Amino acid sequence: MSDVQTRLTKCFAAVFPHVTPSEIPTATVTSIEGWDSLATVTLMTVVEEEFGTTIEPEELEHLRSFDDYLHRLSGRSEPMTA
Amino acid sequence: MKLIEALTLAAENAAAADLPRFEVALVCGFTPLHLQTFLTAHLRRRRPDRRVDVRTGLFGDIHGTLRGLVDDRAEATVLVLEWPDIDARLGIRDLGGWSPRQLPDVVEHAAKWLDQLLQLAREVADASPVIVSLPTLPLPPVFFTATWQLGMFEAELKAALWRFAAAAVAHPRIRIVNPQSVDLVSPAHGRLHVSGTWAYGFPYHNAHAEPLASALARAVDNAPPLKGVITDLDDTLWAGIVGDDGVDQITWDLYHHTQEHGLYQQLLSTLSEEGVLVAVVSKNEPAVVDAAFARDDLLIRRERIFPFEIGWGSKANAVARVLAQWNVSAEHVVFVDDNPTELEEVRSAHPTLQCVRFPHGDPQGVYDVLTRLRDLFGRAALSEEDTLRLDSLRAAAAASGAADQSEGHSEALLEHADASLVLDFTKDANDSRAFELICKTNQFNLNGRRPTERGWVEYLNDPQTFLMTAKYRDRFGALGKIAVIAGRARDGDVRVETWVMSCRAFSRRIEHQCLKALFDRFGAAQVSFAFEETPKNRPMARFLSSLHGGAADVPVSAAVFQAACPRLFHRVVYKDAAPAGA
Repeated sequence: MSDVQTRLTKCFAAVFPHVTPSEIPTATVTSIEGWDSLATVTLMTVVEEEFGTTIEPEELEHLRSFDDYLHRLSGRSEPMTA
Repeated sequence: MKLIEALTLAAENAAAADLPRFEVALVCGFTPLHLQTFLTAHLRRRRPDRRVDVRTGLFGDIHGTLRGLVDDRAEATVLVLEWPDIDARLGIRDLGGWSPRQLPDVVEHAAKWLDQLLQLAREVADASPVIVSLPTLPLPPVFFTATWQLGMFEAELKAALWRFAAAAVAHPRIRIVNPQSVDLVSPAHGRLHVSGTWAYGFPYHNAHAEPLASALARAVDNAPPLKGVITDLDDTLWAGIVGDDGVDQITWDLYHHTQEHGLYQQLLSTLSEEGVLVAVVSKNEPAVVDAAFARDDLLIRRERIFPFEIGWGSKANAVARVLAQWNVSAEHVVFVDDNPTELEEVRSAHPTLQCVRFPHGDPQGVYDVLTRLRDLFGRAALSEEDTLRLDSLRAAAAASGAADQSEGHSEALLEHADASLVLDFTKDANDSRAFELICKTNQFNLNGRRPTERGWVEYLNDPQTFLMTAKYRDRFGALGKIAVIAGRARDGDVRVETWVMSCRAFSRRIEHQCLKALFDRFGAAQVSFAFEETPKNRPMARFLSSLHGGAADVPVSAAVFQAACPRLFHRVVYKDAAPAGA
């Protein structure tokens, strides 16, 4: 697991403490109970703090899964293949 | 604290289902979001023995939410105000117009809104504490003056806010977070999150939400002030080594560039007037120190200091003697010295004592120490007892000197002490001294239970409960209000659930007189006690056992008490109602 993945997993675990570590890499808005609008903003802020980046509110509609965040933080526009 | 840490703490808190709950109502006009998380985390840090539950009301309806809290069961209410709450035209989410023609109406509306808020806050505070944060975000460019210039309307608006604050803090359970303390940890330009305000209704950057939540949690917690400060002399209370330099060469003024020592003296003198105990521990010749304290330009008089421990022995031992004379635990005391080695020696011997280095020669450092001391000893209001504390300690020392010290004071001393007790059965929930005694007293304490402010008000509002407080004075001086007893009385049975007495009042048979008052007032056949042993309440256990020779939680009948009660010499005055036959 890359450093970015490890840190991002930590962010998801903090925002969704009820989700097991094995579920996090495949987490999506629909697969995680409680991923609502408030959790979206909280996750965005935690990721901003952890990675020292700024995520614009308009980007949030494209950040709907662990994978989406990973691409955003890795600077890629296309999803990574497993 | 980062948000991720706060979330982790909040998750730990949520999992602590077996702990007693501590409910806090968070009232604000915006989406509370991270402020709620940070507040939960900071409260959790301060109250690890509780499961913190920070509840929120309807955003945007502060008055309505407060109205709903009047009969709520929250332990505390946290009210976070921002300008748009006071008038929506002062925000950036609504487009109600910034016309100059509207400004008089904005000011007038704000004053009325704040008046209504004051009434509601007082109603809520009658039952539990209300913590208020005044607006921390800048006003938008709504006024016709440039933002660097304070115009009339803005000044009137802020005046209305400060009038609200001044009236609010007069209530004993309304506490306002001092904006100055927030300013010190949260730069003004980094507070407002414009895009967050628009996108999801949360107006704070985390760099502001976190310290604000910390300040709010501190105000909710409302830790009692420390009790005493023990200070060194050379290069601390004054500049110079009095034994080497001479009494005339020690200084504490601008002329000698030693002003920081004058300010320190001034603060110690002020603290002493507020009831903080001040003692001196110094490696010096007693005669030299005597001569120094004879200087009439010292800003703290020797009468304000008790005791002086002057000599060449270990400072840790000298500190132990001070603590013994004060009868105060180390965790309630600060030791100030310029010498790191001395501080380390004292810290090793008294790990719970707060040791503060006086940074001699560092004006900014000294200023920071003065601020820290003020925070450690700050209190919302001064009571009569605060101003009496030093005199009563001296009186206790004088009385001890006059007594045979086998077990308490001698019979002859007690008989001629000219002691009087005022026993007051008024149930006054706003009596902050009674609540303070319950929260601070350790030794003569029935069970160590510390009610929350909300719990205490509810307890007193219960028609089945009684409250008795005791004020004491004798020929050695006044002690003020020194004892609190609360419990329930029914059909000749009295159950004492709270009983505390200041250690300054030991050995005067006040406890006997108080118990006698309960038998008299309620015509009780027996009195039982909700006694629980704590690490420190041995004096209470000893007293209760002395009445019948049994365990401390055994009830005492009227006959047993009469047989065990020694002669009592107090002149007793009852307030509220006299006991039958008194």
